[in-house]
Amino acid sequence: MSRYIRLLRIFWGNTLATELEYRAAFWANAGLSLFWLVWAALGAGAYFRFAPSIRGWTYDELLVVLGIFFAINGFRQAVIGPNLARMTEYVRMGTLDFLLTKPVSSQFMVSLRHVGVYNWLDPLLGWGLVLFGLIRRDEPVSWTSVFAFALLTVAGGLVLYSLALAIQCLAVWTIGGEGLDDVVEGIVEAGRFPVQMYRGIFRTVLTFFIPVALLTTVPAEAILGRGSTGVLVVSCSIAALLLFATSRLWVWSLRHYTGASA
Amino acid sequence: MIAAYKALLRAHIGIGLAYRTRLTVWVLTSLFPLLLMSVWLAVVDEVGPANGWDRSDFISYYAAAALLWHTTTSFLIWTWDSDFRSGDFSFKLLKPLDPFHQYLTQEFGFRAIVIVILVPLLVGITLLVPALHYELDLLGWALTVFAGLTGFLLNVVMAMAFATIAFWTTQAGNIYSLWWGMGAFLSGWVAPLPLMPPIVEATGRWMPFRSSMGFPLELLLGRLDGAEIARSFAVTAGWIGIFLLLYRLSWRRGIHRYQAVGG
Repeated sequence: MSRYIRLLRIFWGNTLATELEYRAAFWANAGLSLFWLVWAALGAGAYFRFAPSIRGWTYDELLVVLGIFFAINGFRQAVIGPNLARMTEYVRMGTLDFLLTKPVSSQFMVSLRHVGVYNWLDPLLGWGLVLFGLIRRDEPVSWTSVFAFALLTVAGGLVLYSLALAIQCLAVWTIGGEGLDDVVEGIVEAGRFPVQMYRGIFRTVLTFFIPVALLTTVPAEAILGRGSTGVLVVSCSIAALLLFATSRLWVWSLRHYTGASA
Repeated sequence: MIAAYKALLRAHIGIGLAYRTRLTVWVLTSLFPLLLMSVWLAVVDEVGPANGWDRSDFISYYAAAALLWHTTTSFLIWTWDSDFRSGDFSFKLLKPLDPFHQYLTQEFGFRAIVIVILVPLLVGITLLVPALHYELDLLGWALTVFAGLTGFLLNVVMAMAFATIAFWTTQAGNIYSLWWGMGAFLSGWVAPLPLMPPIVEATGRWMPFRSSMGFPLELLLGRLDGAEIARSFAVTAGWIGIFLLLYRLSWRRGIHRYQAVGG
């Protein structure tokens, strides 16, 4: 484990060092993130001109969901996206063969090797919005809720990581995998609103098949004090299960990998 | 000129088709307008029609918005930025045709494929989903299509004008996304303009963003009278003129500064 942490420090430190050459670009991107956050918060207000609450969510509570969405989306852009985007190239150019010969876990190499630096502030901005929503809502938040929120945030991150890994397995089989990062983006994008706001088949799919609810709705409910121990246990179990299953899937799909380059 | 357009269009349709998996994924994953629609439907469930917009209005609005989004959004600025960085821009300059036309046909070529995929899909859905209804005569349909087309043209010219900023900064994408992000509010994308606060609505009617989204959509729902239609077309034409002028001016000054990075 400590070996992997050391490797991460080297890989990510390297990227950071390169990118810090472009400090202006970093701050410009942070400014852009803030701009999007404010716009998203204002835009959500449009719906509440007509109804004080929608499916049991008030504007302030929606801001909490939006903040969590922003945080997890930042995680997607920083960690998931850069690795996923390279996957097609790995398979097509045969770089994957080369990665497999390294004396470290191949899953680690394909899913965590690279990192984007422009969205590191997004989670902070997002959690800032969560805090803003909670203050506006003006109801006490217990420490238990904060603890559950922290746990569920980690679980949400793991769920997203597992989904991305499953998609990377797909890339091994199909070779042509352009646009796979768009799929993940689409999935996360659905977490912008609480699942209760979706209807019928949308809601079923987003709750059970693609667990978008775990990414934003469930952590939001926890910090708003609407969670339950049952939901907490189930959510964390799903996250652990998905992580385990997709790791196995990765090993399994490598067994069917024949090497793509000439 | 026409022959050049024909050849370029064919080439770009070919390039687009080469990325058909990507395209399919892209079409399938862009459920975003349907998510926005879903939220509006939840509002209608809660308090009844919003400002006279009922369920079927929102469904009709956002189904068409999805199509318009795919057909009129210009990704030109990103192509331009990457051309600039990779040095491909130099090749475009070498061809005996102004890059303007090369980029324009590229945009048209990609759209053509999207339309071929999406239109039959949308027609099918329209027939299947009873809530979708567009009560229009032939003239109304023609005007809507024309509005979409002019809106698309405006988007391309606008992106082109912004793209020339890259001559000075080597990238224009960020500035353009700020502009476009503001547009999401003023175009009728986040919410139909008539449902926005009055000041946003009033601003939106004079800005270039509504031309490719809110305007054709409101036309399609039959919510505009003759005077409003004429005014909206005039706004579109005016902005096309403004951006074309800006593009030309900026191009003439900028091209001297082009240093051909990359390559």
